[in-house]
Amino acid sequence: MAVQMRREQPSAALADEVVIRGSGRPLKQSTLRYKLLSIFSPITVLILWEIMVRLGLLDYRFFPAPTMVSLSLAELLMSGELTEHILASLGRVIAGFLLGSIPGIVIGMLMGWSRTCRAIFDPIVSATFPMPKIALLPLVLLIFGIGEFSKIILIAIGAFFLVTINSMAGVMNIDPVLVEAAHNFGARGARMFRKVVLPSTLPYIFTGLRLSLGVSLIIIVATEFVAANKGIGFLIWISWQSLVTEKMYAGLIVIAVLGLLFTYGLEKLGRMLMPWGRDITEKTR
Amino acid sequence: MQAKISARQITKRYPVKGQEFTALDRFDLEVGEGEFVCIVGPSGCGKSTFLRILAGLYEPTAGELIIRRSSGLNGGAPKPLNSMIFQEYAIFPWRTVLDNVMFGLEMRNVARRERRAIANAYLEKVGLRRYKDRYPYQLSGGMKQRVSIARAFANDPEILLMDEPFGALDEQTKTLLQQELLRMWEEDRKTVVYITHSIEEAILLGDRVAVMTAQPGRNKHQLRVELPRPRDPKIKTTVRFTELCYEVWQGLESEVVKSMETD
Ligand SMILES: Nc1ncnc2c1ncn2[C@@H]1O[C@H](COP(=O)(O)OP(=O)(O)O)[C@@H](O)[C@H]1O
Ligand SMILES: [Mg+2]
Repeated sequence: MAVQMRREQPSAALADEVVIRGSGRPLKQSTLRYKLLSIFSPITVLILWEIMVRLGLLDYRFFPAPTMVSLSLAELLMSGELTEHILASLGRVIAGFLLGSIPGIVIGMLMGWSRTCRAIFDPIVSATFPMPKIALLPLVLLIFGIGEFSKIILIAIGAFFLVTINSMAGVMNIDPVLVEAAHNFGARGARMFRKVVLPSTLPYIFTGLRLSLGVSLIIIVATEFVAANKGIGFLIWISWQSLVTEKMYAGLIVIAVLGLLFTYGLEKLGRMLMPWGRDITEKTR
Repeated sequence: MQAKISARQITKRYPVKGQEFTALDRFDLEVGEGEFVCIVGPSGCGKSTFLRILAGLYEPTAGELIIRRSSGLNGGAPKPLNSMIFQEYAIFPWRTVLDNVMFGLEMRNVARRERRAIANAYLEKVGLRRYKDRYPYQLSGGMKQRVSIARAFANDPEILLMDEPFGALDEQTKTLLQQELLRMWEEDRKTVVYITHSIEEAILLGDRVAVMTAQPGRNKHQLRVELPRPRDPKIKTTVRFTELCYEVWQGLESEVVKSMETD
């Protein structure tokens, strides 16, 4: 059905009838236009950039042309250097993420469910949560040294708090009437947890995971700036220091792509685990 | 005849801001086996509170509640004592229609194949068979309440407890669901305690109507609805129906006025 309507020109001063007809215009058209627009705008920026560098209007030492960056990215890939950096960062992020979020889910849900647990953990969590976790880097380095573990720990700390707080909010926001219904139909203990509490909290847990993934990427890059000899952060930092800016840009692209892939993967997983969630899938976007 | 449910002098107080708030005050109700009893009262008078006490979800502060089991006595399989149908539907958003209807059976460890068969039969009865793989967000309010009704009936309890189940539905859907409910109830005539704020609904469905006072909820008066069964909405056009409605309203009017004043 067409939504667009056309109004007949009211003739002279007074028309004795107003006629509104459907335009018959297909609806698809408009969405396609917006899609094309959003594809063309970044491409235009890239082309303009390229032209400006070639004309000497932009300094290539600060803003290397997109073709130069692509070339450098290709070289890094071929030599296997990039893979090494990616694997290093990826390993740290995944390890830290798991190490932080799994206890986060457990403790957060316990805090949501039991007032006692909340009374015990809440002061600690509330006091430490607002602190930017990256500020802990020197302390963590002091305790664990410059090895892999200190980077993993720092990511774990960042992930832990976000996941804990969101999981707790999830449990506390369970619709009480659903718990009553489940109880009325005989759900108790472990089954109440598995059949009601967990699925109802899952969207919140995923929100926590998504947020902590973003934080993990910030932390990994920052720690690798100062305390690594491998990893994407290290690549960006060392390219800056030696003024190989194409490589620095290549590093930025890689970290952006990693972020995108993570977000996309988590969203896919969320949809697989929560096929009931209309609002959930919209929220993750 | 021994009553199926005897609630005597049931009182419920809630702690509100360090004070005691009396929601229900020495409320009495007797319900016979297979009887359909409707409770009518102004909003906030403690109807839901009373029903949740019957369901064992809340504890009464004072008073005595006796429910007499009729199944599982002589070695037979015990049925669940009661199943509730909530005004808010309270179906699980993460379960499909079919899985929602099977919930009670699942909790009772009924074999998968059997519970599927039972659930399908009840989905057929409420006309939702085609929607069995949908999730609640894909259903209208009326369909959600049908799922909730099927879930309760499929659980085959001794008592059905219904808390303004059609209160949030539009008039047409409500009439249709009342008809469906009456049809399903006629099949095995379970004991029902049904809460509503609609006088017409109470007369249409109930064998007896108990009227409650405004908060705190006490007994106002009761009347027997001696309309023939099986009933259908056509009965609303009879003079007797209108008279009964008026009789209920006479008791209720002053209470509704009171409940407005306290707001
Ligand atoms: N958990 C609770 N804590 C405190 N007050 C409550 C609680 N539940 C209900 N009440 C109060 O008790 C009164 C009766 O509530 P309810 O039983 O829901 O009434 P009804 O179902 O008749 O509208 C209301 O005034 C309500 O605000
Ligand atoms: Mg109520």
